[in-house]
Amino acid sequence: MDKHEFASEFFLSAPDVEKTYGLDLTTAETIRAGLIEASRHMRTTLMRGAFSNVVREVLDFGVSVHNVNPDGSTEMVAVTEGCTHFAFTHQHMVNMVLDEWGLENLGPGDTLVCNDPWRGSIHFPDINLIRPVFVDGELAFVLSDASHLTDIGGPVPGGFNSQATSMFEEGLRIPPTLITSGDVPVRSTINLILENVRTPMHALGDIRALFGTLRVGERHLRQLVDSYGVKRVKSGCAYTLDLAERRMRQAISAVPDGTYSAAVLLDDDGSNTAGQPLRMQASARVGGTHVEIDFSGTDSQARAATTTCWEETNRCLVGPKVTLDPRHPMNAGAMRPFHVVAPPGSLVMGLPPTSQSMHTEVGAKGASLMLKIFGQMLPDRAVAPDSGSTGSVVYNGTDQRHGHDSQPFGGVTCSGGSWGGTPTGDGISHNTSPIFSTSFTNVEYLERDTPMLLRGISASIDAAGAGKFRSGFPAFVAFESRSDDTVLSFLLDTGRFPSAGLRGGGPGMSTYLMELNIDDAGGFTQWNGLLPLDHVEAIAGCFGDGGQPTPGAGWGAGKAQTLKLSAHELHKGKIIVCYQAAGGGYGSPLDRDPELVRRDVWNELVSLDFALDGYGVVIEPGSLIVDEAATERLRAELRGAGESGWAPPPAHYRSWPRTTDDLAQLRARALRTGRTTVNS
Amino acid sequence: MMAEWIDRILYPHPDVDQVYADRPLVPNKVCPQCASTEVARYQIANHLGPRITLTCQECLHVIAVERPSTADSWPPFRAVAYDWPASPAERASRTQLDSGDTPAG
Amino acid sequence: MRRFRLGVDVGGTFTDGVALDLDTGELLRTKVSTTPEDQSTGVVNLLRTFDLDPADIVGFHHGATVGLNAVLTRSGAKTGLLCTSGFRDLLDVGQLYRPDGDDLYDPQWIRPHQDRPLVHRRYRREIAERLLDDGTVHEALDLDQAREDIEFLRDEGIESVAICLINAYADDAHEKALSRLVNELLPDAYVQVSSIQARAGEYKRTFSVVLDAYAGPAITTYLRNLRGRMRDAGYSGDLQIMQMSGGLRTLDSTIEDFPALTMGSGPVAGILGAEFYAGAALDDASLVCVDIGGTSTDIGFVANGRALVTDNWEADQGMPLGVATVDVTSIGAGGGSIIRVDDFGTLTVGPESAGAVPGPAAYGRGGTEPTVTDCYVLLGYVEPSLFLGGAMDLDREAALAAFEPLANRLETTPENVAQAAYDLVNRDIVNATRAKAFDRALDVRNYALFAYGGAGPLHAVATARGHGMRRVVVPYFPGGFSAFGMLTSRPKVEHVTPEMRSLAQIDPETLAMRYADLEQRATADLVRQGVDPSQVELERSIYVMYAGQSWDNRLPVPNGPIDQATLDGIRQATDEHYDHVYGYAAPELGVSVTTTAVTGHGPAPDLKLPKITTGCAEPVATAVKARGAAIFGGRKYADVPFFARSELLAGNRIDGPAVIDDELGTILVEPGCQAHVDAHATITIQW
Repeated sequence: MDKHEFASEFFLSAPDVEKTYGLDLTTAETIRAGLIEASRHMRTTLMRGAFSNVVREVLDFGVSVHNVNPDGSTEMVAVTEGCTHFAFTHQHMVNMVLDEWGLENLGPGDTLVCNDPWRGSIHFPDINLIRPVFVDGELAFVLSDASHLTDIGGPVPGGFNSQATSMFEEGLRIPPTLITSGDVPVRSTINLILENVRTPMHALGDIRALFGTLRVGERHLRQLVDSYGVKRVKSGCAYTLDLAERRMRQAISAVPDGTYSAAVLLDDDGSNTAGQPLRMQASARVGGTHVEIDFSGTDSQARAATTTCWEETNRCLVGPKVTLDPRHPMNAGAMRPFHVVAPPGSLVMGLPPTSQSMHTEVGAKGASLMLKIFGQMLPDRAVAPDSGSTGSVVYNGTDQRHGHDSQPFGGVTCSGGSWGGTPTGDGISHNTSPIFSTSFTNVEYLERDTPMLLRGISASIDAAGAGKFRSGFPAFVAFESRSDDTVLSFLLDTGRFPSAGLRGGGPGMSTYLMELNIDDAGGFTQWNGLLPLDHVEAIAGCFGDGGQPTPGAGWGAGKAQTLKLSAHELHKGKIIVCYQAAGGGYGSPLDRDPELVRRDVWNELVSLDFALDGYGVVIEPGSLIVDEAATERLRAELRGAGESGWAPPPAHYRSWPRTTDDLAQLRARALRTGRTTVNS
Repeated sequence: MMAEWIDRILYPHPDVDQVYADRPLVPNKVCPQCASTEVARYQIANHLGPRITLTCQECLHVIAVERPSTADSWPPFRAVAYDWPASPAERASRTQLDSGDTPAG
Repeated sequence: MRRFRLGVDVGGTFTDGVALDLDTGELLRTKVSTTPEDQSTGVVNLLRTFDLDPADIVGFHHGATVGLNAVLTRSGAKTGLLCTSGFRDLLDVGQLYRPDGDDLYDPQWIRPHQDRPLVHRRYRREIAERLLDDGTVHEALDLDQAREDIEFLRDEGIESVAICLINAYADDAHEKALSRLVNELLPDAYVQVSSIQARAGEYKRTFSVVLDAYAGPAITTYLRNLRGRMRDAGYSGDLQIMQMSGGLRTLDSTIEDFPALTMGSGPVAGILGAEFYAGAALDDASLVCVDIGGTSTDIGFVANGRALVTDNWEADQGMPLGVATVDVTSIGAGGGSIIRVDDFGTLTVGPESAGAVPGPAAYGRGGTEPTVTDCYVLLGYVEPSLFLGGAMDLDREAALAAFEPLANRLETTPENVAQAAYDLVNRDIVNATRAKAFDRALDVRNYALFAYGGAGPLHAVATARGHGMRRVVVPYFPGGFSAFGMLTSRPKVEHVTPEMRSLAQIDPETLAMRYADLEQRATADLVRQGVDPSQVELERSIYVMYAGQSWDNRLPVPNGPIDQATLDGIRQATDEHYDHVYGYAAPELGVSVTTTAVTGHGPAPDLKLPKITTGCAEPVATAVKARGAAIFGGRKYADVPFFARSELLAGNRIDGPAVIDDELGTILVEPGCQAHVDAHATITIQW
């Protein structure tokens, strides 16, 4: 067998590994696994021990292990990311914070804390801890962990102040600050944080958990050093980083040189004045295995809080990660082939004193934008965009239930959204943006601890972007409270401009908020997400005649002009339902296997009407049998329609019920359909 | 003196609608890969954070990457005390290490 | 008249059986192929192989994979779910997140339940009702509407109905009403409700109920059929069924109670066998248990003589069983795992397996890709004339040929690739074990590694050393050890009560009443199964966490009278647990109690382990069946002896390098190690 058949600049043979790293292949791989393991153990510690609902329920944390280079820069060799953006932000943050502090000022047992976006953090509630690890008197490694505190001071509990026009209205800003010195907590730093947040018990618990996590990571790293020696562990770090780099460069090498561009629109800046959409524009220029991403052409930073201040320069790399090399543990090596240009003063490089309270939507849209761009590079890897919205609801208030003494409470619940269709299958339902990955709330526990009642999380009928492979289904989440002193903040976008389909796929349903009057409706009367419109008030989103959610219709026509509401009141007797947008479909819906369409109708995910108009599939209502001949005729007709051709309708249910009787009839009709099942 | 650091901690809101990056060309520089003279020096982020690159705009060959100097004003924000020496309290542990008093790591 | 107790474990490929003569300690063992179409056929075949007089069988302990297979192949009952309105898609939502590892960024990844549901959305029917956390009614149950939905399920041919409503753990009135309606409209349907595991936490509880509704019918049918076939074969005695909780239930009470708890009983039985050994035959009370089979490796712990339990076992990714089970983690690495090199030069082992066909290249059944078994061949760990009792011809050339393409790509020798692959399997096992040990806050350096499964003892020394452990223990018959584990097990039940309140709000009288009630329920349960009340052993547990968290922790509670000191002890134990496991304590925070539990055991089994004759330190000369070259740590050793275990005597000492062949497994004694055989034929290897 001729070895040159397999020769490639990205392939390392066993002798190559030995020559380059001074390690045999097994040792190199074992050290690589050991570094990842250290981060796994850190994650276990943090998840179990942290206090904030946001950490263990939402997975809003990251833990990482970094190698220190001779020039003082650091590279993240292993990460266990809850929310995936930490896998990218940690790399810059550790570098920027240590650069400012000065490595020559760090000693054993020191820990730095920082939450500042301009030093690489995300927004003020995310506190990052950084701890140096010394071996034989030399700074060899750095450990970092980050988690989201439930409150960080500022006018809005939870820290998501969409109306903020400056960082002074956001919360406590912490520059790189010593939080332990020689392993002893720095009293003034602890006090500074605890005395400026509404939930000091939680904050202290989280800080302790973060300390414990770093100690666990250090212990594990030292075991590795004891087994192999620091020199070999550092060689193993180089091997680990280079491996990720090789993989990414190999994928890039298959991309034709050139420039690939796209743009996305965010609904608004969150200032609740039906303002202008915000445009994010980017291009990626490929030359060999080097890629330069440029955000030039993006709108300037928002006047309200929908802006980010550094992190898109690392978070944007989720685009190539998902498209080019998803199936490999993330580390800084995968970031080496990229340069990012982000012009100061733009939406993605906001200048102080701007606020970035609502960074989440810039991140989510940015991820969609990057997937769009990188999907153009290798057509068979392209996926349709996802929901492009975080879909999170933050709640706060005081517990007015009997016996709860007006205790303050707070929490976050994510609804997920969906990913777009892919070349080989439907997108996943109920899953957050690629740049996030969050977990869902334990509803029954939540109801013990807070007055919040989660009345449901389920798919909305007809919400998925149609396609040969449709997007996944997003969920609606319904909130009720047993305390009149409850406010909700929403991290939402894609209310105005639905996620587009790809290669002929249809757009997904957009995001909207509604409020149901429980007494009038006689309970939480819903059917596959549909509510009786007569008992519903449109809060925000696009609504057509009669208050029916209709993509592209009256944006700003609801009670509020933006979806990015802060401290929106939720009163007893009301249920606020947050309907998350869907991703886009992939490929023409007219090419979707009619059996798959029938299956979705059978499962009450797609209506018979939408099967007809959206997919060109004719299904007999009573039996749910596909009329194959009629389907072929209809599809031929639609394909040949006009010069511009047929376009899939934007996903949405077209005839919402008005009364509870209407709703009951919908349900009754569904009970009668498809009684002769073909298969199950 | 005062104007310098304050410019980097507080900025006026931009007065343009869209923002474009500057890529000033460097005179008399030739790309070693393609011989073009369209070589620019500009602000980027690479995997290590804020950097300045010297890249050929014709073929995208990266000629050099360096840390920004103060004059580069990059990244936009810089702490007021960025260049100040660390106080004894901030570096107590390091001082102890350097003097050989602690068992080192 | 003899008295035999049988342990029979149906595994994926093989059905293993052990029969122990309770009076003499004689142990018979055998193995037949599993008969997937009807697993009871294999069981009957095995019984015939033993050739015992059915009248001599006084006990029959059994586990099968019918339930797990039904779930993994999605061939369970046609199942419907009645859920609270608004929660129709809870099963598909799962916990929303994407798993660690290679799936995290992969746009093609789909949550298993979404991709291949247990309950189709059409059959998940929303019920208009809502309870609050204290059981009060927030929205009344609309039984008329419910009737329509249940009729719908009936007309659709639903065979099994799961009922799980929000907050039903606090009050099951609504679920009971629905259950009555289902019984009325679908009298033949299998029905399961939340009360099988009345704990707060709707995600786990819904899956508990659904998994049981889905797999329960198949398990029930299998068990009834098995009983019939055993009767036909002449055995009409009790059939005790292995439960994942770590004990046995009678066949009837398994069917009545929660059949899904039998799903993953094989690996659990292995841990229980280790637990028995720790108590009866070893100096070590704490063991890391590693069972390596053809496709997977199962890992668990015995700590201070007790098998550890978990509440997080999943039948498939994102599908938790939701009850306390013996903690066993399975990783996709075993003797049949396929070895590959990717485009970057990274060597990977598994999770794909060559299975039985084509099997490892050395089996000569047409396999061309190298497997872990082929590593053993190249490294000289298996001797063809001894392998599987000489029943199989091992083709070393075929194994070599399978490694050649990889060796060429990596520019090294086939033996080096085999060594590297073998080392990487060890690394994976070490990492998985260490992650587990870390999860449980165990320091395993003073543990012994208890190795079983056909391939367990082939990796044991390397794995133990990887942890800094000092000894390996191999039981008398590592292959088919799960069957022995079943044989040593005793009846076990667990009953729980949800609490969901702060510890400060619980007074000693209330807690005493609670445990008294649980103890009464557990005792009654065991008595119904034929256990003498005077022989019932009870243990108390409590699930606690700091106020505001949602990850509870199971802690023991002492028997005896409950007073304020007991409550103070729970408080203290919580702080200590947090400190030990999570690295900190928060004494200023309140403690929340989510659940109280009582475990009940029947009497410990009366069995003696078989004993072997004593010899001297030097094994008899005829014990050495072959000599050959073998590679350890990249170094070749020329004249390595292969011993037949069946000819070793108590007191024998063997210095490494050496290989001990066990017919159904192979034991490696690495260079620098010494193996010692004891009176129970247990082999201990130390270094």
